[in-house]
Amino acid sequence: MTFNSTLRCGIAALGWIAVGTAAQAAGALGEFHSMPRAVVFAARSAASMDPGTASSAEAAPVVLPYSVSEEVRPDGSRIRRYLAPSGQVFALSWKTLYKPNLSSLLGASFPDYARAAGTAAQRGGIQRQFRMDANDLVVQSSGHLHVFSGLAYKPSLLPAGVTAQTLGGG
Amino acid sequence: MKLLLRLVALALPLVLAACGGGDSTTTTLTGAAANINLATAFTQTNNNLRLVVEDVPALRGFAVTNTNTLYADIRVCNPSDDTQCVTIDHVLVDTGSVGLRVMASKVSGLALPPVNLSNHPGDVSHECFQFVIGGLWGRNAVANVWLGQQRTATPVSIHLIDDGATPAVAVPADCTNATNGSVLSTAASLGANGILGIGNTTVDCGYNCTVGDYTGIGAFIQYYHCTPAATDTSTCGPASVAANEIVYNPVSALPGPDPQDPTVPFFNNGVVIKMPAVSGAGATSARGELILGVNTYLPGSGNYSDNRVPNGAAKAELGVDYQFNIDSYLNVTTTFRGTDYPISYLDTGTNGIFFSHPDLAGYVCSSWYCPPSTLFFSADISDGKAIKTNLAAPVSFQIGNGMFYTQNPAISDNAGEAIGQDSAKVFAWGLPFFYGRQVYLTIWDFDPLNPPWYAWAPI
Repeated sequence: MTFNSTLRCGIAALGWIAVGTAAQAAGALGEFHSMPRAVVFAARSAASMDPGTASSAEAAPVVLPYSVSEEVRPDGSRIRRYLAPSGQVFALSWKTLYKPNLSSLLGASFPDYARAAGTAAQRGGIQRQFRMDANDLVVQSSGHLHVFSGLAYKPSLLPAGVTAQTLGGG
Repeated sequence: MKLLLRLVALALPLVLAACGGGDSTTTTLTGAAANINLATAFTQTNNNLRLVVEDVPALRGFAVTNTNTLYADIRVCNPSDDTQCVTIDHVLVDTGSVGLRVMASKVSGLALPPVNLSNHPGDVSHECFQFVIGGLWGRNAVANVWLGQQRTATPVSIHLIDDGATPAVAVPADCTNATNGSVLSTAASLGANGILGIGNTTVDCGYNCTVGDYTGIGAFIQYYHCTPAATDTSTCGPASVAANEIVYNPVSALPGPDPQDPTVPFFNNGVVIKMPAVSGAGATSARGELILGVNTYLPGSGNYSDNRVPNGAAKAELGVDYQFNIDSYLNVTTTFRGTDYPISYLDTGTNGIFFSHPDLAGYVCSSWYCPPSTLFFSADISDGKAIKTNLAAPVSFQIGNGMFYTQNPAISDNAGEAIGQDSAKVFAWGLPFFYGRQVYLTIWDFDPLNPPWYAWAPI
């Protein structure tokens, strides 16, 4: 499904890219995410999104060090892939009305996650939040009722200047 | 020297090492000099039941005690025979999930029928219910559920947690992955004989489960359809579950209002939770009350507990706009020292208060806060919706060291960092919020014009 590429104002240095999901290969963390060239355009900087500066909207787009691809489900659940210029997925985040299948999202990083999560699970009881930071994998995950959100990234692949906070993490 | 004060199976479980200070000391815990048992006044009526926080050695798992685990006794009956029932003790009362889930062994004598799936004729329902970490596996069953003196209007789908020596149906790989390799298959590992999920929605799953599509972005399968005789899921498939087959909020399944007679009491629209105040040092036990229904009490209509929100009570509506206000969906907003936390919620299934703030960064002991002395705070809670209609309400809370110095299961001052995604936005008000308060929680039927809300007042 395609979705509107809305350039969200007020989010610092964040651009959006329209994607045609029919033609793309959905990359897991660390993999390469391909999308049709025709619908990819460079992200604009926050300054050019200021509605008060119409003239700057005409300025040449500033290419940011990463781009974002978002998939949206019919129920509104969404997964974002953060892509380096090469197309490599260096981070992904999810806000979903179900627990997403992390074995498909984390790709080769899944065994590291599974190991850490399995250790946490040994303690038993209801656990509604999780964090790990090991082996070049950071995962933060939380959820209650049937509402889940999470962030996973590889610190070694973060473009210069991009932090967990930039990606919405803590 | 490692100072092992307590192992707690919590939302943030950990082994505590020596915190702060450079001295190595050994402390021998002698336990409380005297038991402190706190209780609210309680009279059994037609719409209430007792709640208790207490240590249950058989349910400790790896923990020293069942810290802030809220329990109730729940009665389950064969759907065709109200004389075939069992009462299950120490079921965890959880406003953070939906549906009744019980150890299968506790109801094995009831011959609870399977849930037949209309979209998969001949097949029966199994469920892999997932927490952020860990989960539960087992078949679904049809039962009538009694909450105190109130019974579900018609039988509902519940979840039987397979606690047999070997599962009746082998756990599928997808479920093992979903639960991080840990299907909680014993009462001790869960910390309870079951979970009574009475959260703010009527059902435990949405689009994926009604359509039976767990692919696309990729979800773990929650419901499976299997032949009745299946012993493994190799022949099972992802299930599309109809509205009357999905695990249902037992409170929502109580009789609703009588359209012919508004004087007939009903209690299916929410719950009230009242717990005694607990000091930082904690209590050996804390007994409170679950009242069924919110604002449905009619004076003079019979022996019922008053469930009306008192004048002056604080109120906050949960957000219901997943498309444009996604953080606030099923959440309220907390504001602490000028910082907004849009992912805030009240949760009896969380055993502390969890949030992050730079001012507390210096007090962190392995994700818990361990200030040298008790800190007293106030935060505001406001509507989760973008255009707020209720005034922000101040909430007092404290962060202290109770958990480091006592084994009391009921403590009101334990708090820690939020560590999950959006940890800068999360403010999870766990059971300490409920101590000393009467808290009203309504259940949402997904009507966008009628959002769920919280209300609260001192007890």
